[in-house]
Amino acid sequence: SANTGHAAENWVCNVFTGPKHFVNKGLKAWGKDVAKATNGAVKPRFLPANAAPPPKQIDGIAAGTYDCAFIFHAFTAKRAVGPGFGILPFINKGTGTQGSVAFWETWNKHFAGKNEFADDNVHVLAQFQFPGVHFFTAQDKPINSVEDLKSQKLWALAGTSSRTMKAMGINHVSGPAARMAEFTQTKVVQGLIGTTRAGIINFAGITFPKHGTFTSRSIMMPSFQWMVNKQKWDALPGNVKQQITSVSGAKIAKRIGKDGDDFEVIAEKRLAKAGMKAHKADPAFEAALQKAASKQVEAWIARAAKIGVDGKAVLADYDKAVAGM
Amino acid sequence: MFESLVGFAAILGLSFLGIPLAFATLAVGFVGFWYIRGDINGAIILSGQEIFDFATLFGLSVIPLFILMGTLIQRANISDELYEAGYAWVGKYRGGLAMATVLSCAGFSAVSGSSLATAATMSRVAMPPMRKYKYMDSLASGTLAAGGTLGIMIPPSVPMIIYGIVTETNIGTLFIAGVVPGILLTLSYLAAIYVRVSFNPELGPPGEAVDWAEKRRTLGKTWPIIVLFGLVLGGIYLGVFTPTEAGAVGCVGAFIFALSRGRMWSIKENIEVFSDAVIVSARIFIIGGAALIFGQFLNFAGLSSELVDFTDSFELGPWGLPLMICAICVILGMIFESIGILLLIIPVFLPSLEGVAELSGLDPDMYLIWFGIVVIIVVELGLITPPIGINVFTVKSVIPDVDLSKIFVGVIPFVIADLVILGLIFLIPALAIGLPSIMPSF
Amino acid sequence: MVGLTDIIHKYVKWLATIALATMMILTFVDVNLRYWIGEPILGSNEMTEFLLGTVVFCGLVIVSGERSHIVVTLLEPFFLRTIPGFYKFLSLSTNLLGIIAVAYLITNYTFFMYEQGNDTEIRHWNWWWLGSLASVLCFFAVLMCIRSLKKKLLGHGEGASKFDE
Ligand code: NA
Ligand code: NA
Repeated sequence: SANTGHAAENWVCNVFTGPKHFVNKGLKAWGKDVAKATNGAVKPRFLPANAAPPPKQIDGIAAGTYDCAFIFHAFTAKRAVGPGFGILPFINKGTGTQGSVAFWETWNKHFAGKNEFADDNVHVLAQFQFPGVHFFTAQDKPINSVEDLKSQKLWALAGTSSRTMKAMGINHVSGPAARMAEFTQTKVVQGLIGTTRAGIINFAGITFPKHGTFTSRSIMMPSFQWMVNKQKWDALPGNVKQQITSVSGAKIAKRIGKDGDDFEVIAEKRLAKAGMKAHKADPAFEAALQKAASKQVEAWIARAAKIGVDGKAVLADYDKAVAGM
Repeated sequence: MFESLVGFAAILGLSFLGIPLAFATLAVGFVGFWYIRGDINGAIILSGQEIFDFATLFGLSVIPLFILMGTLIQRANISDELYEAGYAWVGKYRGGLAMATVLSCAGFSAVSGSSLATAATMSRVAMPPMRKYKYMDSLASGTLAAGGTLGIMIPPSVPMIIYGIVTETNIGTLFIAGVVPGILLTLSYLAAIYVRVSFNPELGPPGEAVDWAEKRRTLGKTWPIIVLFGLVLGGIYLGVFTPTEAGAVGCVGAFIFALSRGRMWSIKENIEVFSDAVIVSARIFIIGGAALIFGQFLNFAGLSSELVDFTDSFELGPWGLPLMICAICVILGMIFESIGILLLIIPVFLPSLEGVAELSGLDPDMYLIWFGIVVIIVVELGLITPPIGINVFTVKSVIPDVDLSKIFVGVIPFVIADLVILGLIFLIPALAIGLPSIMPSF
Repeated sequence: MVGLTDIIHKYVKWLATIALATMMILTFVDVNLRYWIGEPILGSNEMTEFLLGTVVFCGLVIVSGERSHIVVTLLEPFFLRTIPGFYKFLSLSTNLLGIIAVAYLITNYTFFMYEQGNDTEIRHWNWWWLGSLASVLCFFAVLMCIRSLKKKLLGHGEGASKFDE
């Protein structure tokens, strides 16, 4: 562990979720791929503990604290328009793997050339998604109508889910996923909006929900980008860049998407065993949610138009890419 | 490993020279990070970020609030009444005033989440009577430093909240789990005093006997403590508020008690009391922020992964591994205070612990609760062990004319008592997790 | 200097009191609104974070004036016997250098947060707002520390060296 800092071939990577999260598997596999593809010219090294809070992952790269990291796109809205479509409400009707690859391909087609992160001193290596988030409750009756939302204390993930609730005039507590546990441990809230099954097990506790309600399209796909310090990237010779690119992008997206889906299946079985009943969302409920959420989609399409991108075409491409897999 | 050890040695050396602990830690963490990363700008931003983020971390909002709650209790004279009650019941025995100190520390702990605040408050309350009865400084001050550590085992407890956040375990359950070990620690401290004065009666001469009516009267006066304890724990347990919100609710309760006793009516007194809690908190925060910078140096230097590889290489299993981690934490506890250990060390070992949890025969969640109680005892040890024992320094600063080495000598019996209880909780995990297991959940 | 820092001391204590009291009341009100009528204050946790930052940096101002940082005084009697001059100089100079370093780090980081556009998730409050307040308070802390070299604030001496009392 000597002075590993400035030697160009060592990339220090930060994983803000900590070493337990399934995302480590795919990212560390990428690390090995990179070392192999570049014949050891670039060696990613993963920090044992997180070095910056989740919203500040780009900041850490910009400051030179570490070289690679990934960030949740709820935190990049001010910096860039492009990846914001990933977290728009109700865009994905497929799996995490489908969404993840479609997100990368669609972003790559419409936005990679826009270099939106150039000012932030980062080069984007991949975009990826986790499986979609849904509705859970500790009450005896599943959440399946607007009335149900009003009849219990709710926690909604900050961002898309919280904004949708606000647009419906529904009172709730909001915050980052890591703070969900505080409210579920002693059932200060009963309803949870904006978490995956895996998120329930990781944060809320497996015995918390009695019912889960699953909309046909998820209210939000947690979307991320994996990136590297731009100076470090620019300093590499062209062939090394190419070697790294060949093992990044869709390859990362597919791998992490699949790991997310696999983990979701395990979580599904464990939740069923713990007594949680799964329900399909009532179409009327889903329609009401979509209607309340549509302003967020319109606002993003308007922002995309300002940088010369047809937002509707982006969403259609994403949809097509999901369906095509 | 080598760079990390140099870092530890440098903090020790600099702080021994009288450089404020926070600034010594900051300097070593900064230089260390700069050396490892080879980039001073990264070190400058990272250091600013760690201090700023630490000072604005939501989970830590309980620190000033649980300190304020204690200060309000003190203003309402409830801490004096606690001591009176303790004195009435055990004062007449040899070492009785020290025992009364332990009991009143335990009572105060039920409304304070900080060991530092408990030690500081009870030093002001209990030292004068112990001086009056010619208690030796080593017994008197040692009792106060150790008694203060009860503040974080008996709920509410700031370190338990931090442990709960770091490990994603249920903080309400942790609080309940702390009750029995807290009582055991209190009893073991009483025993430690008893044994010491048996060998050397001059350490703590007996006080005057008190009649039964007085005993009942003084005990009856401690009811506000029970009410506040019930408010805080009951509110958490019934799902009215979260453990981090409990500090604010407890403060409002304590404030009302103070008002009812004619205190806190003047603006001047409010400013005194609130800014007192602010000052005590600031000292903790600046050390904590600096410790996190040093922690990032250890993170980047690879110490944490080396430690994990080292402990994993023994394949110790569900009881050996925690023992090993405890040993490491006891050593680190000589230098770090509680937050440093909880934020720097525990997350590193968490994956290994979760790996062996299934093998323990306990429910994996309960296993982490049990380990949390174990860690709190280890943290308590760190607060009173030399060379850097924050509680010892706190007692020293309230009672400046006591020799620091005498306090460190005075805490030795309590360190032994801590170790005995730690051993017991290893042998009988039910002492920690029995109560939460049988509590009904809502 | 002493006069100026006396004023700072007075108003920082006011600010600290208001911030901590607001923190207490805000959470208390939030809890009650949520429990009784199901209307929590959206983003109250972010307000608490801003208040906590205010509390901590206000505290730092007063601690600097008192020079009451936690100090390892184990060897103090020995040093005061053998190298009293150097020991006192080291203590005073590192108190001052330390707070200057913190002031620099926080001010620098505030500019960084401004450039990065860091804000809170729910209410979208800019972090540089609090950073600016913290920077000003750190600057006050430096002044208070300089003042303490001349005339130390009295009051909460916990954790401090006792050689100049
Ligand atoms: Na306590
Ligand atoms: Na120690």
